[in-house]
Amino acid sequence: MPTFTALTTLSGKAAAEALGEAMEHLVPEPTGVGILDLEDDSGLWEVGGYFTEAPDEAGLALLTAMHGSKPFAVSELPDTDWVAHVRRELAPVEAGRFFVYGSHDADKLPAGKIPLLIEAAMAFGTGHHGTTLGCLRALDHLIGEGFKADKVADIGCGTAVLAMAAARIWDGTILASDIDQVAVDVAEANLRANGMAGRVGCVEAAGFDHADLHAAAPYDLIFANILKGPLVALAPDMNAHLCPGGYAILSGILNEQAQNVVEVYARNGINQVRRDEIGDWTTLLLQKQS
Amino acid sequence: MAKKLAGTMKLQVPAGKANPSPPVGPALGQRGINIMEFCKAFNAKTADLEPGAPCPTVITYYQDKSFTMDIKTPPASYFLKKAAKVKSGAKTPSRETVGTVTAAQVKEIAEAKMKDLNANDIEAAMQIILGSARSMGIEVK
Repeated sequence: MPTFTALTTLSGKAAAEALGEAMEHLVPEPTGVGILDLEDDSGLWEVGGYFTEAPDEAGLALLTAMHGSKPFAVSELPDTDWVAHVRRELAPVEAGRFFVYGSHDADKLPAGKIPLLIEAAMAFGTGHHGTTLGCLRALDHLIGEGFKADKVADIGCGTAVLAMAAARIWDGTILASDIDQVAVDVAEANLRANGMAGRVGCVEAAGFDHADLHAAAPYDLIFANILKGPLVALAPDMNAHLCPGGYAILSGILNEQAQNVVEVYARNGINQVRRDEIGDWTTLLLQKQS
Repeated sequence: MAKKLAGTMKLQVPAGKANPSPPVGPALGQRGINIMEFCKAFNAKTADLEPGAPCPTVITYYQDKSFTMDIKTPPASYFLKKAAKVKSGAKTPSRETVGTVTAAQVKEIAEAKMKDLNANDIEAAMQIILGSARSMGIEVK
């Protein structure tokens, strides 16, 4: 079956959503419509439709005029094995001693690495983003320095890749929490897929707001790969839940936000040890005063 | 974990029958989203629906290729065509009637669509379905 695409760009999310919705009423109707922030600082959004027959170019021209977008570029996609294409894009990620891979790369495990099987599915934390990669690198650094943890918490765990990485290294108590029950379910499924069922306690919680997380405190190491706003709000709780000399690995921070986060945590007695920038994202390794 | 949004898309996917062919394959594949994981999750979530019923599905995808999906009920036009036993609506609905449905069927469709309609009660939902029927040249008896 042929697939045609009709793509255009225009400024602003609301305008893109309105155009996307209008595209759904074209005849022949598209089988799919997508909008995408181009994230190139231009403020432009891409709006595209997928069709199984050639789209009505007059209808597209009308939409262009009504919504002020650039003219649609219509093309027929070449016949492609999209599953194979995606597998090439979802290549394994190496972060120090850790090797994060999808099941389609199970035959590529390198010797001497610690494997973590994570499917790119319905929770964040596949290793393909600078934030997760930065956290794994920070953990790898701590391990390299001879640090040992008895108690670890992963706040906003997503896939629980960070909690699992810690559990591959240390024998102590490891808890993972997420505000999203879907992520908690994915985390538990990932633990089973890695032969670690029950090794990490997974709970649904906002921040540290769960009895299990309170009961296990204080922690030697806390991961929080969230976003700047929640990280700043968590700073006092982070101090309360870290043991003296304990470490926090924070990510989800844009490079230009990092200094502000460092200052907020310093005011809460948790100081910067190391900073790692990967693309637009910064990961901070911080330590609570002894 | 922080979800770093990349984009959203809306696809019509047949209940229980998502596979890598269009639109799923090219739409997800071009964005590097794990097609097989999507199909597996979508088919599991729609297992209780009528197989093949077209489900508008909003997929939100993130910068690390993870995604979430919000599966809507099939469009009113699908239910109306099925109830009226017609393959398509009228080309000129103001002058042409292609089929009929009963008020009871309209209520049934309104109930099935209720969660996705901008309606406070079943009467308001029925009015929306009646509007759809009129626009398709389907008469309500």
